[in-house]
Amino acid sequence: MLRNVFGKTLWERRTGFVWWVLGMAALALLTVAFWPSLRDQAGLAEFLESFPQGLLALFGIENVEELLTPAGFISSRLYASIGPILLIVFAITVGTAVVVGEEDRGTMDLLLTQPVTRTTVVLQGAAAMTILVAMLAATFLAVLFLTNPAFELELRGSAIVAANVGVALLALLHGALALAIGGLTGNRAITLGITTAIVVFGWFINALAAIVDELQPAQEVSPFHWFLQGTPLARGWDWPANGLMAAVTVAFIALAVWGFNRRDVAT
Amino acid sequence: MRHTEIVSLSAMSVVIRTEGLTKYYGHTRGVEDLDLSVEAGEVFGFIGPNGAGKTTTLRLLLDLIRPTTGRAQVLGRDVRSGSLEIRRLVGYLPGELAMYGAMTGRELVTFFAALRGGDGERRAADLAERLDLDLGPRIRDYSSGNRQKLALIQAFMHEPELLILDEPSSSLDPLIQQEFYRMVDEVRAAGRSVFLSSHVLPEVERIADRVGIIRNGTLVAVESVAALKGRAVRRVEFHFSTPLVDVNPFAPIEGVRSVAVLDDGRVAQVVLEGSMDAVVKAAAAYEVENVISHDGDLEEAFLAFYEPDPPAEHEQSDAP
Repeated sequence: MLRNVFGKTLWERRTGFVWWVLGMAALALLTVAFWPSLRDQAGLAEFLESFPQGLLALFGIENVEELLTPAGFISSRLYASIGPILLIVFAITVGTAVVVGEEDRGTMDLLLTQPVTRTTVVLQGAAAMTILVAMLAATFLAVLFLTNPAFELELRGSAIVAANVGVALLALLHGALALAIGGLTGNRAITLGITTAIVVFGWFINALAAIVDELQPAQEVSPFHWFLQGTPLARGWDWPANGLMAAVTVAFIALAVWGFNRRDVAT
Repeated sequence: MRHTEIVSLSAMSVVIRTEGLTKYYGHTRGVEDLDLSVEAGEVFGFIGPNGAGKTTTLRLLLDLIRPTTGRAQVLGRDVRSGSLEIRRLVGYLPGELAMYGAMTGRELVTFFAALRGGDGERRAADLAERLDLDLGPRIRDYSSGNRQKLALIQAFMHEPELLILDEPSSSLDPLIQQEFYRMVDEVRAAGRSVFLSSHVLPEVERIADRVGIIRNGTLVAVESVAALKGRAVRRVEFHFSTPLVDVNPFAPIEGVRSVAVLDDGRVAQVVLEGSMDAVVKAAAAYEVENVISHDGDLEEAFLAFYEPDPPAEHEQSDAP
């Protein structure tokens, strides 16, 4: 595996990643397993509707009626709340490690005095991040495909794929953001600070816009909104949203390459 | 004198050349207006106190940091545009040693050899044997001496045209240090070059052909080691039981570069060139409590030679 920066980035994650996969699989499995009891709960719709909409929105529930379908329920739990947040955290961890983490640990000097360009370091790191995030999203995908018949979820295969491609792109976008800020600044604390602030902002602006009409124009800048507006697990592919997330991700990676190439390596 | 030296060098093959190389970190000075030239087959010692700008210079040569103004060439290539090719041909040992702690020594060697197209993995095993290093354990479990050995191995293993080494022998035990000196000798014998920084002059005297002295970011002097040894500048400190009052027994002696009388005349610091005989005899006229010869501190004496203006605490001085 230690043949290049791409392989090295995967190699560094090898033990931690096993736990991430197990954790994500458990999360998906528990979510699905909860569905039958929710379905059989009489009067749940009335109960939920008694809550203020703002509170529900913060838990990723925008529409109670939709919540009580398998696609709506799983979407709100796995794709609109904890699921994407965990994937984003993972992507940011890797995106940060690739440039600014390596500088923070002091190993970048040694790496960059080998015949490897800074562009290679960023691009191969981004490629490794993409593979790892895709594999984590594939864990959700595998669990949903396996449990779909047994739990009578009636999910469409293409919708399952669409939802996981979407959530992977959402995570990659934020991982690439961390990569870009790291590439530009060379400061790990600033990178994590700004990236986290942007994630939190995007998350809340999307959730709050569901209840505060005035915020709806602002919602348009939230990547969470791009991903969730089409509820891909229920309605399938949302090509404009995927295209937008992919384009922003690529732009962030390009920014990382440009930023890292133009500055001093931090010590 | 330095000028003619550079002119004569330009006719030969030059492996490192800097022209007006200047680096500022914001308002903080790194190095200033550095003109340096290292020729092929030479071992060049770059010496100066910590914070003088040695590491800054080395990192500029490897394109880890970018000059504020000025230019530098390594192996005939511009350090900015030719960096990738330079790094293929150069072996580097960083001063601030941080390595991938999760890798074993062998994994690090494999990884770096792979980045160099598979070059040097077998030689690394030989070097590990020479330096008595077990490549099996994880790097985070290595002692600092063993980490330094591993850093040397990765710098030497692809037989680079030029070795750039930042404080290479720090934290090596004396026996391994000797082995490292032999490795440097072999590189020179093969016609390849070494540019190394150090803050210990005796070490540089042992392995280098020429020495550059850097202080406060400026190159103060470049000397051949042979000339340096011939000059044999030393600093001696005499402690007297009765203070010297308005007398300086050392001033008239030939070879004395500077005299500083401190501690109300109880201590005299003498910087001298050549034999100590006359100075010791002059001191013998007074009651001497102690004599300290600063052999390990030669560079300070060396610097005193190049410093026409003595620092303020020197009450008397007749430096030229």
